[in-house]
Amino acid sequence: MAAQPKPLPVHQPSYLEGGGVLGWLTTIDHKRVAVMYAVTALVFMALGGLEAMAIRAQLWSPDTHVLSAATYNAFFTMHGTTMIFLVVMPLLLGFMGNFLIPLQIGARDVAFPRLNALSFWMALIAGILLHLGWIRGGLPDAGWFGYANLTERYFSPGLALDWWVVGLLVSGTSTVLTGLNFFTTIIAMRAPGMTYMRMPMFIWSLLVTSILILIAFPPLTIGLIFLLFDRFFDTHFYIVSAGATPILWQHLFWLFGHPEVYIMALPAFGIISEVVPTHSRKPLFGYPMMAYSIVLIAFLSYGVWGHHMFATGMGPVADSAFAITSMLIAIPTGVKIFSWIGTIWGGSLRMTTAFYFALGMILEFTIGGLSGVMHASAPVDLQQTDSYFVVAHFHYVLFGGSMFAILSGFYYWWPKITGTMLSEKLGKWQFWLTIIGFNATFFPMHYLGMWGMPRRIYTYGADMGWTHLNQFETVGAFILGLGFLLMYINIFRSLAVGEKAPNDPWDGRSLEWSIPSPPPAYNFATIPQVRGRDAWWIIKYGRAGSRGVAAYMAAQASPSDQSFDAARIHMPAPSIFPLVMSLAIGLMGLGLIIDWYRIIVIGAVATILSIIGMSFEYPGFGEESHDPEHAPSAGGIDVRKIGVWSFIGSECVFFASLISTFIVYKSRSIGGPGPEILNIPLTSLSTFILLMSSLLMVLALAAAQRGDQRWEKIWLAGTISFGLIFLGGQVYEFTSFYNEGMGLTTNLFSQSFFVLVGFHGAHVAIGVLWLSVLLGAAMLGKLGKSRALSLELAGLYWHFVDVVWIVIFTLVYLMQTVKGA
Amino acid sequence: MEIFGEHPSVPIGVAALIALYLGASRVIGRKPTRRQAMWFALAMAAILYTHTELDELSDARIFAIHMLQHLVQTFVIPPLLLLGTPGWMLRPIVLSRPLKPIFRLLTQPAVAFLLFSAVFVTAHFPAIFERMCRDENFHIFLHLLFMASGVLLWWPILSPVPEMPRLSYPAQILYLFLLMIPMTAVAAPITLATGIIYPWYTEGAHGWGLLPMDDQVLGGLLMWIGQGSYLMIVFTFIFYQWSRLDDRDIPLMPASARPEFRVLNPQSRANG
Repeated sequence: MAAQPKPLPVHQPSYLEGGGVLGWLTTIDHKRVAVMYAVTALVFMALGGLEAMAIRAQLWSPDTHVLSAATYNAFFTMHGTTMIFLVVMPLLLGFMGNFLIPLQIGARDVAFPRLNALSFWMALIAGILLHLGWIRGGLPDAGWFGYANLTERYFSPGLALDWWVVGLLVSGTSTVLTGLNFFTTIIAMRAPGMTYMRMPMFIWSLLVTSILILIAFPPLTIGLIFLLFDRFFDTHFYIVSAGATPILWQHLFWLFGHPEVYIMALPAFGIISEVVPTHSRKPLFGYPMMAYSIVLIAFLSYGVWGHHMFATGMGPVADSAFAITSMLIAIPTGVKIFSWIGTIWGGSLRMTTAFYFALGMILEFTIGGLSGVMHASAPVDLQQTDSYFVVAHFHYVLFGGSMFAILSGFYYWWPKITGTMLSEKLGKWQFWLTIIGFNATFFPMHYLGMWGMPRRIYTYGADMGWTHLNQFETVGAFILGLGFLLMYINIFRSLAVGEKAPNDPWDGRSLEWSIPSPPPAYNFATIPQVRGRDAWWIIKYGRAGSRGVAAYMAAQASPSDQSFDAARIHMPAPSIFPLVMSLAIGLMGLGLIIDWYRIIVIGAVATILSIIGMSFEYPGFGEESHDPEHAPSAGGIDVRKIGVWSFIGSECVFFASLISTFIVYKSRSIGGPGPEILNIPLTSLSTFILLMSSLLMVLALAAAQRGDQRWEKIWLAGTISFGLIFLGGQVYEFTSFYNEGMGLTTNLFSQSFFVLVGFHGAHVAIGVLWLSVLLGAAMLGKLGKSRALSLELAGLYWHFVDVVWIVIFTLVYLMQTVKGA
Repeated sequence: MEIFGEHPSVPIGVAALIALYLGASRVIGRKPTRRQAMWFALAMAAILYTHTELDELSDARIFAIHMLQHLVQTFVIPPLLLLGTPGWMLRPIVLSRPLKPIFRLLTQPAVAFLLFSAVFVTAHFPAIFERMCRDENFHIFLHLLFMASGVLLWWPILSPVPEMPRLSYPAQILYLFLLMIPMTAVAAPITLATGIIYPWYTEGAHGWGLLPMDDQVLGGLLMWIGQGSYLMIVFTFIFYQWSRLDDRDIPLMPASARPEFRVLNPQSRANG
């Protein structure tokens, strides 16, 4: 406890100060965004928790009617959806990820602060959309997994599932934007000296999580888009009578759903890997193996989705394959458990509430992991599917794993976030109530499941012998609820009368503990130099000894330009557009659902206006980048370029899912026109034109890079007009199909064709718009040599769209002729 | 196993490659290291084996063996070739004036990745695959194409020529990770298909007494799990290298040379 940092000599205003309500609405500071995520997630957590308690009350005794069967369905659906999309993910990523990534890697903000604010507001709008069923149309009631074809209009009339589809689409988009943002931030904005192998383990977990998000969410988006088309435009993507299969939804959903489990687990592992070393006063045991196992889990998580589908009858071979891959995941997960134990072993432990919860997580998650290995075995799983055993398993993983880690991280980082301490006494009470309540609620479910109690039933008969354990569980659930009540009390107590927190209350190891609590808006007055793992620990106790801290503090207090002035650290300006745009997107969704087209139009116009507004806010065309310290990055690649590349990566999966669906569905199509309707010569021509537009784009970029503004404009105009010709050809193609009797809903072939090619066309249209804006800027003479990057980014996207078209042209058009021959 | 059996082109090709290897070494006047020679010998053995013994089984309509053959051609032989060929042997060719821009373009990670994926995905389309099974010349052409695009695929990971460099370790891992997407896109539909995709395997006798349907699933699984596990082992090696290299602590500079010490104010020293 030697080197507690001295308070800084100059007053550094906290990020929480100033701005008023408008300041919060327009903020793009990652710390304020994180706090807003936390507030909304805590509200939704209370809601989801109350729903859970209502469910338990209903199951208290046989044949009760606290809730009706329909309300019960709605409650378990909303409990799952809320806890996953509106509580655990926002808390892990939006709250802790947002707050800590820049602080732990020594940066001043995330790579795209405005996008970050947009993510938050969209997430909030999504949450509100999901809950609008309270007001009109009823709550969604098809389970959080929304299995087709229960979700079709025929089986679920009314608005309930419309809210669900649209809400999840908005929420998914927001999460993808967050993933893109985090990925770019971690790749590009680490402080000098922080190599990958020196990153805190929490950052490692978020890096891998953000890659998982980018690749895992597109299949869900596709699945939801199909459902949206089915519900609103009368297609039949999941309707058996049209030749389709509801199993497609399960494949798409679980292709997302299993990586999603790790999206919620990996950051939790990261939190534990921060809390445990700090409280053991030892470096993390087996750091490289820890990082390795995180990456390995991510690798494996894409080959295991089938273990959610053993009961659909995939056949013995596919079942065995998924069983093997699922069992393999236990190995890297086990590595983590042993690494944590190895870290604790022989450490000088400090038993704070955060550490209690970390220990609780290791214990409970291990139990959940053990039942997970049981599920991996297909024959065993067939006995357990849809029974309470599964409910027990995933609550041990998601509550015992993710939620305990969140609580641990919450107690650990609260002083840094608010500048006040939480009560340890209340915290310990909360811990004991939570762990007792948790195990009392969920452990007996293993037995109930084995005795045959099915999931998702709203009541059970007295003669089943399930009554006593259910009553035990309900008591446990209310103890658990009491524990959370203590947490809310602790929060308010701390904010009202909490003891003021020092900068480094736990003698921490990573950089966030080196700055004031709460941090100033700019985080670091001087970007720190990193000389090893546990960067702050090395400064405190490294070879430089106590002088390290003094030197560091001095550098923070008076950066090398002697006239240090907080106001001179230029931070990006606040913006109202993220909020406006999210509201506009929400309006569009609302208009679609309640079938009021005027609102859709207003929403669409407002969305476009806010995009334009945002692009004008961006440090204008012709000006230098706003923050020279952040502009360069990994190997001199601009952050925007990394952002566009990761977006493209995500889009690849999007189109791959669409194309696969097309290939599967065209052969299942019943009646009506098929591939023979395609006009190959015409499409070859438009393909050629699109390819030529890519060539012109290359020429335009080359002209821009050598500063030749005249040819830049000419080539750019050429690219745009070729793009427009291509779109015109597509419009002609679609109309002629329509005249020949092939509409969107004619058969499986037509609907998967129109959705695939139509989405590609939409991408081309967006590209044309993007290039047109750039052409406008070029006309105003604001797209000089120094802004060639703007053109390069648009060009990357344009080439990508063209490459996708080549794939579509080959697989959808050309391969049809090969097959016919 | 009869070396000069049905496909004399294979031993002839291997002999030509060995002659080229030895000849180049002689002309340039440098000897490959013992390790490189060993990798090269392994590559030659792998080519010989996959195109004789395995080929016979694959001709006996065992789909799984055919897939194993493809696996070796794309995932085993190309890395061995790249490990076995010293940079100085390739440099005169790949850096020569007419060829350099072509090789530079082809060995770009994105280009190599897309080319390989395109070849691999296209070859498994029923129409193409059927033709491969029936037309021996086309079959040979496709196998050569597999190996050539395989060399491109592995170039960003094992490039022997520094002028066309390897990717950084993290990028290599990402590259392999993304490779699982086209691989799964081919393997999953084959494994999960409910009918026979390639009619060739239902015509005529089926080796090993396997039912065509079981054989197809086995082949699909080999591609799916087999390739997946293989890539994971490769990824483990890369990660190990990376963690060793990236982990090294930079020695502390003498205090006077460190920038932050220059602004050190003696009064603000922490004590203890």
